[in-house]
Amino acid sequence: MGEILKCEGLCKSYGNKEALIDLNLTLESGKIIGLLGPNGSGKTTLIKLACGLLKPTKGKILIDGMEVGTETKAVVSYLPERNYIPLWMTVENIIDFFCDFYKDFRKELAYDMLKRLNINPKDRIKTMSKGTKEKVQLILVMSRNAKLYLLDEPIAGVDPAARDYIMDTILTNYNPDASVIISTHLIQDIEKILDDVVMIQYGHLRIHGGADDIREQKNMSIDQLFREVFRC
Amino acid sequence: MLGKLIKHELRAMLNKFSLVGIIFLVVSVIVRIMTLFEDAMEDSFSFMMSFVFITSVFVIGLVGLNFYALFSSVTRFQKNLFGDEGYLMHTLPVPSYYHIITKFVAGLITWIVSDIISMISVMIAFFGASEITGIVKTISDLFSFIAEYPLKSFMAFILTTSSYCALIFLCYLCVSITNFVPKGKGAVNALMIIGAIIVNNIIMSIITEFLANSEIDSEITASLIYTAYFAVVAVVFFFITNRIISRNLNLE
Amino acid sequence: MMWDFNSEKPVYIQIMDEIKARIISGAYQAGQRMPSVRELAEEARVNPNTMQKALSETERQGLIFSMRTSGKYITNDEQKIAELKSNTAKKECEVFISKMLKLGFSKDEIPTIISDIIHNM
Repeated sequence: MGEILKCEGLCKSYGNKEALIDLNLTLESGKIIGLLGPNGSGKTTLIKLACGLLKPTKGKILIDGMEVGTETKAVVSYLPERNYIPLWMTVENIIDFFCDFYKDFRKELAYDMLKRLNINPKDRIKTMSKGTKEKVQLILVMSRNAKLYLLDEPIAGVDPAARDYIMDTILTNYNPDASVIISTHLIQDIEKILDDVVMIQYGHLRIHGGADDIREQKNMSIDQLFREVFRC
Repeated sequence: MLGKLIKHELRAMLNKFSLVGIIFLVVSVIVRIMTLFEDAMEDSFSFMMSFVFITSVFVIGLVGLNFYALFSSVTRFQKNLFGDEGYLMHTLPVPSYYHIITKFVAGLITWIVSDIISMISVMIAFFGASEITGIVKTISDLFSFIAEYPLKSFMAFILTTSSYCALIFLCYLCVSITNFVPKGKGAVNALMIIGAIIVNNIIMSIITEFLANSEIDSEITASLIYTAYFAVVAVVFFFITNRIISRNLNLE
Repeated sequence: MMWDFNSEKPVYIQIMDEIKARIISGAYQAGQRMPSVRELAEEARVNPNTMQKALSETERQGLIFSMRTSGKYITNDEQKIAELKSNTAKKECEVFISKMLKLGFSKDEIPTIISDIIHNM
């Protein structure tokens, strides 16, 4: 059990807009963490900082004790909200690509999951429906044996049956040396599998605690707490 | 990892160009076959017109292909590194400057290959025995020139290389900068490149002035000065582009 | 077997309740070996950490014990199980009876109503 993510006085601004303000947060390994907050709260900014897609304006962000860089990218597996696989590629192509660049990629597991979801590896991404594209991306991300998984809205565009499959995949992939951060609006659907909850508003950390602890103390579900904290 | 990046980049380029390349080779064969029916052309006006048409399209297409290969290297830079695919590329565990090198090398290889394909197409379509012997002679002349004037040839080579690098890295830099511009990226890009070329021409004429007025007599020294200029410019552009990619990246 | 949880109560407590219910009903026999934390978590579709917490708590309450190499077992202590049964029955009845009393039924009426219904089940 170590610190998989640590933010020290982390700030990020885009010109005049301050997306994250003096964020101090430590997340342990072996946990499934919900990153919750309204649109524009800074969730995606935090995730992009953890992946190395953005650089901090001030402060530090450490992954597994290292500053974000080439080495951390090798142990972080990121699922963005959008499709990032080149459309001309087939599923086989992108799997070869991942095998080439990520030592921790588990090829057999990927093919196994594709089979379970009835996705033909020889299909081109271009020809797939939105839902199928998302499933392929999720399979790629979860087939890595990473230390930190960053899932940005993994279940938003997917049908309820696939949602169950996705959550099962997250659970069965559980590894005490790794953590999964799930950023989502659909709190009701995923809150039962969360260990910890992090709530962000206007770039500030509002709440950080264990999911069951919160339920015990406040006598409500995380979803209800969210609605209370972020009441319009 | 750099090798793998280049391999995948070439695959992507191949996917784009393979169909075009095959079409050109097929059309070159068609043109060739049509030339065999010279007699028929004198009899049939429509046959001759279609021959003229196909040949014109073919030749224009070949010229276009050349420019398109070079142009593609720059558009790939934009699409693959600043579009949605950027989410994939920039989270790979490689240093950011690998991406610049990859695009450069893959672009160069694609350009050379498309040049070769153009030449082969032209040869298939038009060349007879005399033309081919002509080409062989030109090539052997070239080799004897290089053998006779090795230093001059080498200087010419590095001058060409450094100016090519400067041009390509200029394009990459402009593409990177236009990503900060919210609208009209294409226009801003074009303006920047044109502006840079104008500035370049000014600097070149200053250098030429200087060399004319100075006591430097040797062609080789002059060549070295130009090469150094382009090399420095290329390196500066490379560094600035890398800095933008590694520090100021902000994908949509 | 589908485990069903609501989000308002801590999940680990709900898991404990379900385990206890299975002990009482005999679905988990006294002395029976339990599946691993991982397997149980998969079956219940919960976070392994949450399942671990639930099992630790249940162990602390003496209903489960672990053997270092072979995993966790339901207690052999018949008396403990009997105690659990009667406590649970008591709690369920108390909830039911206070509800009925609130509705206005008297203490004498309630046993008659119950035996009638059971008779017809």
